[in-house]
Amino acid sequence: MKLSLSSHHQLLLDALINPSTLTQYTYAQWELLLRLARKVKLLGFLAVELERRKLLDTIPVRVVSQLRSSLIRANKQQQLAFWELDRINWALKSIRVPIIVLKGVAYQLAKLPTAEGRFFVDLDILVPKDDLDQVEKALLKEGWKHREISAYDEHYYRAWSHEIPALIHQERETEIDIHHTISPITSKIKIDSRLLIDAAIASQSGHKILNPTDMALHCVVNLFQNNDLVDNLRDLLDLHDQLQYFASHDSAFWNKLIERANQLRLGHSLYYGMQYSRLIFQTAIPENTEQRLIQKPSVVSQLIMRQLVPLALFPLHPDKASKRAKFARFLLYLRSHWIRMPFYLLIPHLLYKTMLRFKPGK
Amino acid sequence: MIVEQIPVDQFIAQLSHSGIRVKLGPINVLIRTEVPQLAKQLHFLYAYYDIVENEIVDIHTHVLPKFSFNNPFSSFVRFTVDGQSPFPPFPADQALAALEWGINLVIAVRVNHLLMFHSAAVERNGSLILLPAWPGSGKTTLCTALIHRGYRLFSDEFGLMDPISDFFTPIPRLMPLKNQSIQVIRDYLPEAVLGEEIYNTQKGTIAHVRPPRDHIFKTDQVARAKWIIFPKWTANAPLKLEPLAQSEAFLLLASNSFNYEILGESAFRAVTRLIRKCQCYQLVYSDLDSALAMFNKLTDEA
Amino acid sequence: MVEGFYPTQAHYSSFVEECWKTLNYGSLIIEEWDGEFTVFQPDAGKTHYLNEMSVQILIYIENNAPAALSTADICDYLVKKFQLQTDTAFPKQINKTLRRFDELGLVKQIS
Repeated sequence: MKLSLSSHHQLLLDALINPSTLTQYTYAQWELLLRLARKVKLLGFLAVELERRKLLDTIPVRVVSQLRSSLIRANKQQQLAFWELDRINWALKSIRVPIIVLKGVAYQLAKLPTAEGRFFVDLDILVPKDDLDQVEKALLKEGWKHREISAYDEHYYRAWSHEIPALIHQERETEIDIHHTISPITSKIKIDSRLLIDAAIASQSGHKILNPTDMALHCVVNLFQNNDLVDNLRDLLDLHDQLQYFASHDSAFWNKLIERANQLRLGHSLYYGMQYSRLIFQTAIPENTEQRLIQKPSVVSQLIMRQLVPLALFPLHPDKASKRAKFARFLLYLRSHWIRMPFYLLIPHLLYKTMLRFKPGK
Repeated sequence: MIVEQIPVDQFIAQLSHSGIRVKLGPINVLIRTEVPQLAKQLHFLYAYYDIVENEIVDIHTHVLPKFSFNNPFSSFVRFTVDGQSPFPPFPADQALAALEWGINLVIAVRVNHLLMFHSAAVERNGSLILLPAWPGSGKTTLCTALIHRGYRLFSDEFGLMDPISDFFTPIPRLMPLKNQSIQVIRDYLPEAVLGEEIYNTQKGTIAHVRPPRDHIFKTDQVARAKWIIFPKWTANAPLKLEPLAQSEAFLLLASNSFNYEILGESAFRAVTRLIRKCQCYQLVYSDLDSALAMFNKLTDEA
Repeated sequence: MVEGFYPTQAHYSSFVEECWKTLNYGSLIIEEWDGEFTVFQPDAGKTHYLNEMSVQILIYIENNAPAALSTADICDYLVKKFQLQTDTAFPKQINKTLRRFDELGLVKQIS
């Protein structure tokens, strides 16, 4: 499979894969690149990559200012998320509940290479479903509150989603998303979160995080099940980073990953995840690894997705968005709801969302 | 080349086609618009800004006409940055206010390599006076008066401080006078150049002051701050300048910064140095003559 | 607890015996402004505005590390240092401050 990208997508990808080439960029290329990278939340990544290569002195000063500004913001977000984690542990010190840290903060805890400079606005944690009540109550008692949401959204969260409505501390603004499983309970795939929690590992700092296979699976589930993939290039880069890093530290990683995906019945998402990570970021995945997955998307699905996924992952051109890319994004938006919810729930939900769009102020 | 040197027809055409790239202090902005009214206003009010050549533009803005289903017979404009609107459409006759507000918003949200105070800043005898904004400060009026009486404009809105060198950088933008201040300035400073009055904005009637030519040309001349004065306009009050406790000045300055929290430790250290080096005052004033005399006396003593 | 009454011994001891340690005190940046203090806490990314007594509480606890100090110990020290006439409200006030510090992550309670 070969990737053919429009020129602005290629520009972005070249920068991400091979940041050393950036020193050759013209002003016009830089300008477009910065706008695209900002859109997919990768300015902080570029800043870190250039800093590591000691190339910040060789690029235009204005670019450095923009990159530094983004890196400062990313560092602040990380500091806030880590502090929130510290404070959650403080608030929950008297109850013995396993708290598994997910996503961006977990990537930092796992010391993944691209975690530095990564933007994230909230803290995601996973707790056993039976303990959810206890955790929520303890946090509400210690100064957290629910973010204000409409009654409909509240109902949606509690009844059909895989997290409870977000909590924020009254004095800080960091949002905590508390999950009890990693995919919506309505979706066709049920993941036994007990398995994930039991297999969780301790980070060097003593926090609990998912083990390498589960972390990568969570990443692909987020990409290909919980989301419409729009501007999610960063998340695919996360996946690429995880696959490379874990495989380099454990020669049995690929086997374990396939086995785990088969056990949790997440073959579909992992199949796509491996395909697109290899296709776009040239991840060194051994040939035919994904063929050992029991569940694979059909050939027709694959062909359709092949037309849509790159157009959604990469940002639209900021001045001239292509109609084809917009349409691809619309189809993927429908798909994301289709696989997340039973059909009888889907129509009212989309209707409600559509109505909201027409209402002013939303 | 500066905006004024481009013939107005060509300027309008270029704005609607590829856009005009202007240097607003340390920030280069590309402005695109198909709204002819806005184009004419910009040609006049942006007359002295440098056209950016052979440099990167930091912010890409576009003001475009927008049809509204709710109000099919009124015309609206949408401000976008990189194709996205950060706020709802504005009535078309407020396009300039939307653009100015939009650019300020993007600067406030994006810039973190400089510590940004929400403050007016003017320079005299090589040193800077910070005039932080707080409700009722009347900073735009005061700032407009100062810059037409021997003080150099840094900004009416942003005090931009390099947290390493402690130098402030000028970013002379249009200065939006509001409501009664418009007439106050017309009476007090007949030489001040104002744009058209824009009615019914969120802040009432607005008219923009065009920064004088020399001030825009000296955008590269930085300065360190020496005075921090928290102004408050109170009708008929006698002029009163009182020293302000440093701890209080710290609190006020930090909490009125756009990115103090984001910069973290470097902001804490920068504000500490700034307060230690500056004289901090609280000013109550009602008439501009006595306020100007006070400012002159203060800055002459240096 | 009813204000203005002497608390019973049991009630009183319940909180004055709570023990405290500082939390990453070494990371704090403390600046003094004529008896007022600005304190930057890098872990939290927050600037705190503290008065003399609050800062003295932190310094006193830190100086006793690694041992923890009880609320009663801290009160005794402050009474001497600031030559205070104390009443029953004072330990309550100090305990409230310590609990606030605990919440902010400036100190931690040792159980």
